[in-house]
Amino acid sequence: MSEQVLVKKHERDGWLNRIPKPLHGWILPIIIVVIWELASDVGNISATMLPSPISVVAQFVRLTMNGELFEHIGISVYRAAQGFLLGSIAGLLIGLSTGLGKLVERTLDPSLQLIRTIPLLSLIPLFILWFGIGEFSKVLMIALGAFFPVYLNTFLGIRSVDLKLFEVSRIFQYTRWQLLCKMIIPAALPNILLGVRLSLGVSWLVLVVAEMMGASAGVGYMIQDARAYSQTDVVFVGIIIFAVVGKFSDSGVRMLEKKWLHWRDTYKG
Amino acid sequence: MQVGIEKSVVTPLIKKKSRVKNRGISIQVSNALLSILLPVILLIIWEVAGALGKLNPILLPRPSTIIQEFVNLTASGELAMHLGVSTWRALIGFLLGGGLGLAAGIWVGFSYKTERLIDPSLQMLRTLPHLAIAPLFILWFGFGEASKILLIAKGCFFPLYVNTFLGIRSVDGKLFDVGRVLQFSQWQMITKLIIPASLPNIFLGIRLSIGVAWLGLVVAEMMGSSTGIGFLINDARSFSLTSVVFVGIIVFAIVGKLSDSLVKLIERRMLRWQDSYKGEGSS
Repeated sequence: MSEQVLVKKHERDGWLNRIPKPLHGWILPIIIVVIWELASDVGNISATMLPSPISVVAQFVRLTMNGELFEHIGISVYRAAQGFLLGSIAGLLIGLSTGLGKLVERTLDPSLQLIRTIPLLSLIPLFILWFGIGEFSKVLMIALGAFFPVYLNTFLGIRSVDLKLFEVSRIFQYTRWQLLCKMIIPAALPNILLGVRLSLGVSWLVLVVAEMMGASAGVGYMIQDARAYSQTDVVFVGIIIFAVVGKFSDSGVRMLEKKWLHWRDTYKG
Repeated sequence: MQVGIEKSVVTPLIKKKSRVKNRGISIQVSNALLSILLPVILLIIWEVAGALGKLNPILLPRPSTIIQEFVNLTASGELAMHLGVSTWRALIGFLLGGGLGLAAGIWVGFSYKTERLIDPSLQMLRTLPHLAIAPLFILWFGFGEASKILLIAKGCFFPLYVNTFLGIRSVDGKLFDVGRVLQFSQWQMITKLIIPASLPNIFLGIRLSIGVAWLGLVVAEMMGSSTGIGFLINDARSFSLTSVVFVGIIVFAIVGKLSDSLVKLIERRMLRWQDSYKGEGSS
């Protein structure tokens, strides 16, 4: 009987087994895209609501050819990079000082935790009031978003350094500087890199919103502008660009993580 | 003589203990004082500078003005009205998105076939920054309630989906064997074993989802609406009523914090039940 069940199960799963495993994830997207394409070709879906995949691709090619896309991506990446660098370096420095100094922790950390509870995006109107809708307010907004993940994780990373390592370093008579560079930072590196990854994600998200709120260039502006003129295919191109660039930056940090943590392991050995 | 020695040893010990206790309390007090030191100093400087007219009230209204505005808005019922609308939106969006996320997570978590077919597509969708979708939703569903609620629901879907899936997959295999020995039906397997065991992960997903829901709500209401806290903030900004902007931001922060603590409270209670339930099963 159990054999019968097994055979039945095998028969039921048969069609799936005939397809090589790595392709399984692609079945559903391909079916959806094909149906989508067919439905828009027949004319069941209006192009302003849901442009056909081919027209999205065509629009992508057109925007790439005339260089418009690169211009927008360049500006967006530049903004995100500025904000991210500003925020994450501030987060790293303040995280280091609260992690290393008890007094700094007690005075600064509660206030920072208080500020952290404010939803970041609700601050946008205030930033627009204070700094206008120029570059500066966008970069500051992104920096604020990038600050907290790095700060929290740096702090956590330093506080979870093994106490035994501290004792070893005391035996080696490390100076304070050596202690910081040769022990604390390498030991806190996994957490710091996690913070960097999170803060990259946040800065990308904030960039989207900041550019939609008011900008005259950038991928967010491109999306918003296309929406106003009902060019839905451009909206799709913009969204896909955001997804791809976000994914790339994440894998970039992951690669860095692998490399640096690998170094740390050999160093330890 | 021995007694004398013991006494002389014991008394300093007791003294030391009480001193440690005292020191513990005094450390706590000094910690608390230090932690409020910075905010209080900043507030005082802010208030004094504002009163002396050094600060532009349009850019940075005094704390006392903000409190005054808060009281005014509460007394006129305006704040409660906006807060009600916002909470309702966030709740509906959360229930819709979170419910679907839970269902999808359970479905994908259970069947290996569904996982292989559906999970890669969902992971692909997950990489889209969810607020970038907002213009598309406005195009499709207009500026009405539907697009806001769907935007929130989309944000809430993924944290719950990912964590439910993870929770189910990390259920101990031995528990499954026990379930099979006890001849649990499929339904019993789900309700009595898998859901309780994956509850910690599901709660983590719920907390993340609620955070995302508030964030999505802020953006959705700023994009275009005529009620809600986000509208209150944006409207006040366009009329340069900065104190109202501050009130709105503080309300968002408090409500977000409260909803998070509420889920934490429920989590603690539910997981306590789970622990005692486990105890019963093992005895």
